[in-house]
Amino acid sequence: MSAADLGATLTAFQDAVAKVDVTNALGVVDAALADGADPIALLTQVVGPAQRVVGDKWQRGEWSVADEHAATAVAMSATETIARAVRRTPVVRGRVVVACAEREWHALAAMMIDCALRSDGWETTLLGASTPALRLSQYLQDLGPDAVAVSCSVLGSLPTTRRFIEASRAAGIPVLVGGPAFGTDDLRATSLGATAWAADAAHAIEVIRTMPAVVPRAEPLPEAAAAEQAALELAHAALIADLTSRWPGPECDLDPDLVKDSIEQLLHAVWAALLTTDPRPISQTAGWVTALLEFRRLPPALATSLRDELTRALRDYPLASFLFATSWT
Amino acid sequence: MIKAEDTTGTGHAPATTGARPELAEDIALAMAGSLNLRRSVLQLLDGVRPEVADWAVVALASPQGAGLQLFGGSDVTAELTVSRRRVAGTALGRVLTTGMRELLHVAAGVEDGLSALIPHSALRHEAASLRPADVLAIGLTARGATLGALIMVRGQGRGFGPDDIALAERIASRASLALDSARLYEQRGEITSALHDSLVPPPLPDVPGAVLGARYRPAAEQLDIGGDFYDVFRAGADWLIALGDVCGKGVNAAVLTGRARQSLRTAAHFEREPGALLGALSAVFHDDTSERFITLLCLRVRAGESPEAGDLVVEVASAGHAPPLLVRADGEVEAVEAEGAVLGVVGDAQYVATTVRLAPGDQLVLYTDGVEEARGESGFYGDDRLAELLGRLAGAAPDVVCAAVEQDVVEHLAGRAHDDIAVVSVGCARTTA
Amino acid sequence: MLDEGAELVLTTTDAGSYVMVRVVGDLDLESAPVLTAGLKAQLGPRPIVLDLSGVEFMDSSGLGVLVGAHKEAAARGGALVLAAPSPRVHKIFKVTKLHKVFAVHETLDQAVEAVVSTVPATGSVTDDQG
Repeated sequence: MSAADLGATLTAFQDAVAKVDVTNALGVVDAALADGADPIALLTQVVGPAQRVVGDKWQRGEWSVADEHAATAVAMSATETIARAVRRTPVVRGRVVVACAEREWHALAAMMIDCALRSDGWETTLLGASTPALRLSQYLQDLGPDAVAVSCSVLGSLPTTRRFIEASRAAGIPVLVGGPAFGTDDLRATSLGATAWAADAAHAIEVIRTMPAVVPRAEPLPEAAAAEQAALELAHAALIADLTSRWPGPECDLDPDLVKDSIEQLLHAVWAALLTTDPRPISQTAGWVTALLEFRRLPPALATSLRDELTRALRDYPLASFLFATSWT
Repeated sequence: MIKAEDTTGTGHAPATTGARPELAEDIALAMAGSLNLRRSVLQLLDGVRPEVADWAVVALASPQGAGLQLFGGSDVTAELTVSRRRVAGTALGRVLTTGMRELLHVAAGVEDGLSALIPHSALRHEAASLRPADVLAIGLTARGATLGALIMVRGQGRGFGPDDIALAERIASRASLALDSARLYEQRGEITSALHDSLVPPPLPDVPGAVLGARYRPAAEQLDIGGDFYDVFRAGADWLIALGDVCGKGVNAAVLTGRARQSLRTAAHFEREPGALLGALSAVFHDDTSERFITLLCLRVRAGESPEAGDLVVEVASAGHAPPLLVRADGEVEAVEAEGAVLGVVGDAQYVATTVRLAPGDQLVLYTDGVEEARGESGFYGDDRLAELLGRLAGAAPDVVCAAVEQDVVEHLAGRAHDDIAVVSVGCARTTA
Repeated sequence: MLDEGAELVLTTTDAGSYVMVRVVGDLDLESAPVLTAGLKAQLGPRPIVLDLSGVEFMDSSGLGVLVGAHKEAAARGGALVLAAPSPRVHKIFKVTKLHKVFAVHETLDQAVEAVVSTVPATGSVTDDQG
């Protein structure tokens, strides 16, 4: 199937997703597969991009959280259809356990990786959304896979991803990570102790073949930063309560879910920066929140006041304060 | 000339060990991280190279059969099997029987001579290409039994001196314990996984005119099973949906759920009206002494009278279980009350079913008390919070609703312990517009 | 694991014609054995009044203890009377319909009254206390 055909498939698929029309969406995928489309290309050039649009629509306020859930469910059904087609490929390689970080509710990214690896002849076991670390450990002991692949879509799930990395490496099993929370290079992955990083499903297929058979246990993270992140995580509920009471202030009528979400995203970005020594999550999230407020035609002063409130809230956390101050100026 | 001796031979350059004495502990620590036999073997093979050996194979006697599994070689992940008979009478055979080590001095270029300790031609070829001076086989003995042997080769004329052998023995004794634990674990695992498969929640079938969703999160999060259960099955021309809770958590409770599901399906052969079905079960589960009791919701789902409308008629009977919530497409949420005693306490309880009608887009959400009792920072999750969430999700697909409820409860828990949580939703399919 | 639940504390008082057992704390999987042991020690010819006013939380394991004790009491010809359940516990009794099976009284006084009067609160007890 040519690139032009895939372009048409993407448009038709996005249309169906926008209307939350599962039947149509699956019809588009089935037709493409019947036409000889490469399953991985369908994932990375149709389902993936369509899903990114879903996130954008929510950010711009065009879609509610319920809409986003519903649209994601369509994408998941589409991925399942592609997975069914791919399952007929013979298994010629070892076994991979694919997981998404605990408390990450969209298994879509993990499903795509699972599908891609399966299509390349790996025997895959997909652990569902929100897998607790204990359960991952159990699976690792029972299945003894050759590798673990962890997908992490949101910054707030990076701490649990780190726990997965620790669990996997404690069992000597190499771990591949990827997903939007890891950004566009391997800096965060390396900092967290992952064996390898992949940019997308297609890249994952290449990278996983190069991983060693046995890896040593993970080195501890830098102590001060890890301690601050743990303290922030413990204090998270209290910080949210405090910040939501002070921002945006009584004069401004902003949807409370949006308020909580913006504050939470920024706090999660601070966690990410502390654990990975990569300050970019903070500046990127700051940009995302600022755009979010702009789309709702709110004054820029609102973003500034949010920044100031966070600065105040983080004052007892020196490393976090430093990272925050230098990333959102 | 090939001689097999227990002590280091004469005429070889003494091998400088170079290996750190802590290596044995390091390997033991690495192996302790895995209860998987194959992974533990990989750790051992990876650990001995390159400090102790240039090439290594682990031979393990397979517990039931007459085979000998050979792991490693040039490729640590390689696996081969030979028959145990092949090593009878050889030096390796002696190691496997007595647990005593054997050290083989090797004359250059004699591949066949390696067969005393390396029982497979491909592996011999690999070893020979290193131009080995010695082949060392150490018994892997733990808890009184010899599980196998660690066979190591050093190339380029380097032999195994007394220090090397001592280190190898230390490594082997620690490795044996780890391998034996892994083997015991796997044997246990085989028993439980057969049972386990029958106790995990069943996949949801396609019910005509309906859309189903379900989520299950056991209290013991490392298992997939617990004391909550649900089942969806056809009985004659009717579809029955059940959701229940046996008191207790973990594996013992899960076993009871298996019996409960089985009893339910059997009783449904004779009785498909939910109230009568629960009445029948009430007699079956009654026990004069046991603490155990079961709460259960039992639903019968049938198409409404007019196919064009696409409605569903659902009869709901309850044995001491919280009422399911009817979530109308327009956002209205109401509890469907149907009273009845828990199963297992009174032997002759009576149950009366309540009937509700689902229009396309409506759904009936069943849940266990783990939802309401989930304790977070702000206290119990509570029925009110659930009803409010469902109101906001009204009209969404049942699977999406169940996922959202699970997500909301787990977020509320924020990592705290919880009872088994199960949510099932049966929705009336939307007719194509 | 951070524990929100307190330990379960039983206080047993000999009141002559009956035994009073006061329970304070969360009644769940962890603490259920404590209550089981406590009740087992007291089950006998004299009725037991179980003061539940101090139980804020009870799960199915806790309820199981009450079910087991109820059955044991019935089998031995003794009596177990539950008193002053908290709103949450009372709701559980109602939903499970065990309030029709157990002898439950809203206040401690009512429970004691029911026990000391010659006619027991439920008809399920053989009167052999001579």
